[in-house]
Amino acid sequence: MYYSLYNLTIDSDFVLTNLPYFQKSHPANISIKQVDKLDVDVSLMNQVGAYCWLSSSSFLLSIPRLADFYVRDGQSIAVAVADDADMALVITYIQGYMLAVVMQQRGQLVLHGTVLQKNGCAIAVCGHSGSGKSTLAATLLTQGWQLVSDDVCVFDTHGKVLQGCHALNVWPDIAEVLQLSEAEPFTATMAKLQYVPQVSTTGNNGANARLGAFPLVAVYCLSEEQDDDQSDTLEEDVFAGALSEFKGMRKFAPLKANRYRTQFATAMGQDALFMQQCSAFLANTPVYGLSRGKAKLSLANLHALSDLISDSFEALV
Amino acid sequence: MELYSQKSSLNVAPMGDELVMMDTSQGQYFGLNSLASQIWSLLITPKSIDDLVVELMSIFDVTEEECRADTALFLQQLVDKQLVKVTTAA
Amino acid sequence: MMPTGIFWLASYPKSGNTWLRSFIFAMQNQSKADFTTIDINQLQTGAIASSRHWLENGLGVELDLHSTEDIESYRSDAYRFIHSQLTEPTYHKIHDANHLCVSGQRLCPADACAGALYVVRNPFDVAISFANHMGVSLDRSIEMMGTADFALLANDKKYRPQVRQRMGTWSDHVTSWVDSDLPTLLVRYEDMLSNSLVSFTKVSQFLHLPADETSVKKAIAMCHFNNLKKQEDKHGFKERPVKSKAFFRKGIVGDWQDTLSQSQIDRLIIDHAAVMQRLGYLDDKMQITPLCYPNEMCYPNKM
Repeated sequence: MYYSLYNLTIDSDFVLTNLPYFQKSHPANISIKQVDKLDVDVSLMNQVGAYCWLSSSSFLLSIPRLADFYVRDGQSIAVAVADDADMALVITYIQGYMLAVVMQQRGQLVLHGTVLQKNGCAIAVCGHSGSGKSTLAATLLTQGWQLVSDDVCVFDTHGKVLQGCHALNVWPDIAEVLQLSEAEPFTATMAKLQYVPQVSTTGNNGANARLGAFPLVAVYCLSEEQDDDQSDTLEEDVFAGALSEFKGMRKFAPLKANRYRTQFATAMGQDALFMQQCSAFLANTPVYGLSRGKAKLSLANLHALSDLISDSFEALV
Repeated sequence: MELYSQKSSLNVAPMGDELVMMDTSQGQYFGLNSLASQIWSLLITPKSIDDLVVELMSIFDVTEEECRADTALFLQQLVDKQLVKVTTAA
Repeated sequence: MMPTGIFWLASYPKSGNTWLRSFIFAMQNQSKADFTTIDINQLQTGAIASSRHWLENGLGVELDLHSTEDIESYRSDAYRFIHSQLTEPTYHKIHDANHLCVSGQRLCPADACAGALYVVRNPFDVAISFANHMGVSLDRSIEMMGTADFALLANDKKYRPQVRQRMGTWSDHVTSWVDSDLPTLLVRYEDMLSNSLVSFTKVSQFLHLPADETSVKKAIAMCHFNNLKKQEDKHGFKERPVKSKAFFRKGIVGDWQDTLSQSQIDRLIIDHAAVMQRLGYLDDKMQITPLCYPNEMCYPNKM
């Protein structure tokens, strides 16, 4: 089956989800093959994690009792699946993480963020897990924004952000607060639920949506939760958030911190390229820090946070 | 007389009118604000402090003493952080 | 050759871990000229063992996609890899018991660290402090300490910065660490208080920190309990769960006499007698030893 993602065509042995698909027509840009066993020489790669090896053009992720994923040259993903593996989880890895690595190998800029658009203009909400980006994105979706891509923000060579999969992963407690009744478990074991928002085909969304590429109007970088925080819920009546802008050269540090798998990208030798891409694409794009404070999880506080973003966006477009 | 010029092993990227630089040999990043970036751009060919002062005074409305003092300070910082090549003119 | 890599700072909650980390931090920062007190919110010893962020970076997987059980099965691989990459000693807090995993090996195996420093405190004082920390009654706290499958952060309906930590009973927790095959130093909180110089010197030696008398005394003074409490009163302590009123409550030994009922004391002894005897908190006639009682007001600067 052929799929379209990030303006590329994918020829996949696996059935992918929430992506436009079509019959085979011409050679695809990316091939995803299921193999019985991988034949990889890790001595030519750097080990960068207990289950992860890479070089500038190859990447291996070997997860016990799940699958081995081998990504090469920005063109191919080979997957050897373990017996009794959770296939939905394998597919989730392919569609998210592995395709993000493909894009990085192709030399395209990839940030760790969720991208939303309104009237054909996009914003990126960046942060690592626990920063609240999927929560904020889910809230914005209930307020008229459209989902461009979840967790992965891929740029084309002109600095526009590319359309990704049409699904968002949210924590169950958030889904409950936002009343996302359609949010459902996607894999047997994953705690997060998958939410597939309605795609609007009306109005100004049209042109850029059809092209699958959106101009990026602003980047919002969420600051992370502290690792030592064992607290259950948080205090009442604490401020819901504050925006501050990073200007000029000061944009670079938060952008680098929010690059997709930033330490791995460094190990892939991409630092010089990353600097050039930030300069070319983001020198004139406002980059904000959004600190969440310790607001209690409530609809009111989520709306306050999302309003901060929406108001800032309105002032820019 | 000493001449200063941009070290070639640096990766430089403009962010608006400021600069971000990466020195691969040191594995470090540096940022130059707008004024520093302008001075830096003048160092594309080797220049002495006198050369720089002349050029800067044609751009900025500043006394020679102030300009020389600030430029000397800035050049010293660049030297300390190993971002410039220093050669001696014949 | 100086050992490098992960040193675990292991303890059941409320047994002196923060004080220990304050001491280590003081030791590592003594040379700074203007450094006279510890900022309890900047104790930059390494990430806690159960930190999602640390585990995710050490593994390379997308941790949010995996079940609690899977994550547990990956942890010892993460530690082994991280440990192999370190070029100096790093100190990491851990509250998990060093329990056996599905793989048959322990959560923190011997080839994945340089050693473990286990701090233990008499269960009477722990029970009270734990109740306050968790915002529960004394009876509930004692019950949790006696529950074999007790775990912290076991709920995964929402994002937490840490993964589930299986504790076992208080006794299981102790034995899981002291009976493992890791190079281990066992330190009693009560000795840290009443015999500070000797205890902290042993700690420094084990952790390859300066162990000369001057350095140790200086570091002890810097993390004097009253200083830590003053800091908390002034700045708050980010590690304190909102449910508890103050993290640094009293710090003294023997608070339990005024607080626990006879039946609560008996319950703890029934549940934990063997380990308490082993640690010197009960004698061989099952009597509570003087170690559990304050012989005088013991503050850390009394050496």
